[in-house]
Amino acid sequence: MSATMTAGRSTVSDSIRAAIATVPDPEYPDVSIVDLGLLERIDVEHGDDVVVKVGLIPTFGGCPALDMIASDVRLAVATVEGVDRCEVDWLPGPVWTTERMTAGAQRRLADDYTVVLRGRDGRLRCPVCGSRDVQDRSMAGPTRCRSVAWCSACRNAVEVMRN
Amino acid sequence: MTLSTGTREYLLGFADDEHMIGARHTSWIGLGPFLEEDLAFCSIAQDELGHAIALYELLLDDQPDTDLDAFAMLRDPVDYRSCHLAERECGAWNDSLVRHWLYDRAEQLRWTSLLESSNERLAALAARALREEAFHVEHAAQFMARVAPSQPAQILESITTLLPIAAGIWDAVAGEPEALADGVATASSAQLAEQWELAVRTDLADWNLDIEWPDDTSTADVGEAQGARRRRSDGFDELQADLRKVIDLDPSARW
Repeated sequence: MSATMTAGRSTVSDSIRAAIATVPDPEYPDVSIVDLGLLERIDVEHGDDVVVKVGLIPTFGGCPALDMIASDVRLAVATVEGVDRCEVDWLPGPVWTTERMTAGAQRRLADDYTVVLRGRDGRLRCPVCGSRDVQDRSMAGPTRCRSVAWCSACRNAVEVMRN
Repeated sequence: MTLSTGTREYLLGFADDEHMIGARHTSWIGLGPFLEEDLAFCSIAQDELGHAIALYELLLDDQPDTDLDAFAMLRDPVDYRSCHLAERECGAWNDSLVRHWLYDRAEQLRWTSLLESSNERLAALAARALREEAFHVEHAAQFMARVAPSQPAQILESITTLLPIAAGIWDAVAGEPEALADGVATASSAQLAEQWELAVRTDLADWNLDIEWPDDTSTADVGEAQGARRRRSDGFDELQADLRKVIDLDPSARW
């Protein structure tokens, strides 16, 4: 992530980042969009007005929640003292991957939503019982960003974040 | 970045294809042959509509006063550049499945050719779209491979009917030479058509589906081909009326 900041204004930039971090993903109300890896850049322009430009990337381009997330970010940043205006852009790149998620967000998805990420070895671990005996079942899950697998050990359906 | 007139038409052809195929795919919401397929098909529709939005945004970048929804749905039919395969109503599941396979084989080639586009934003969109396209092609291929061994008459008939119409994906718009000269496009429709034919023929051979390749899929007659995307197919008016239902009720409606 890159941030263009004027020297000495880091307090404002920290506040902006903290404000954006309060915005949850609509699918996972206790997971911040920052921890999901959607925040790509913050630019602060100090002209007559202080304008904050936030660059986000979508998990996938057709996500119906994009307008809602952008609007939430604008509202959150507008509460930061010293900010006059906030503009939010969905950037065409880079491509979002599950590797952009923080370890904390991954844990929360597993614990609270039984949604897991595929390991680097391509394998899955059941978020309910911890078994590795998990097989892919359906590429398409209840939302566009999740597929469905099945844990043979505890016989639970397991959702998997799609890259 | 200012786009030339020809490049705009070239991108519009792709954008309208994605819009129409996405809209047509959504007709299976709640009606897919089984639950997982219902979800998969709707996911794919969502992706295609996402691609259409991204391409329309690129086209409207220098026209901040033009509303994207209005541009997408309210143009005169003559101003659309979609191919007839994408516009077509496929009321039967076998037709929709075959179209999905033929279209996504082509779409993957189109995005791949745009990875090296001189327009950086388009190249970035291509990189993202290709991650999604891999799923689409895999989905279509797995489904076709599963049904092919029993040689179902409906599937064979769908392929025979839709192959010549699918070749219309490669009917180039008049602006294509300019898009190529600008470097926004990096491969001509004729070049991509050859790659597509090879991919489709390979699939058919892999699945032991004995289909005679139609004669009349050549895009050699450039004049005629350029006309094809300017003409709307039968049933387009009905499709557009469907697309317009919400925006006509309330032009300012937002989700």
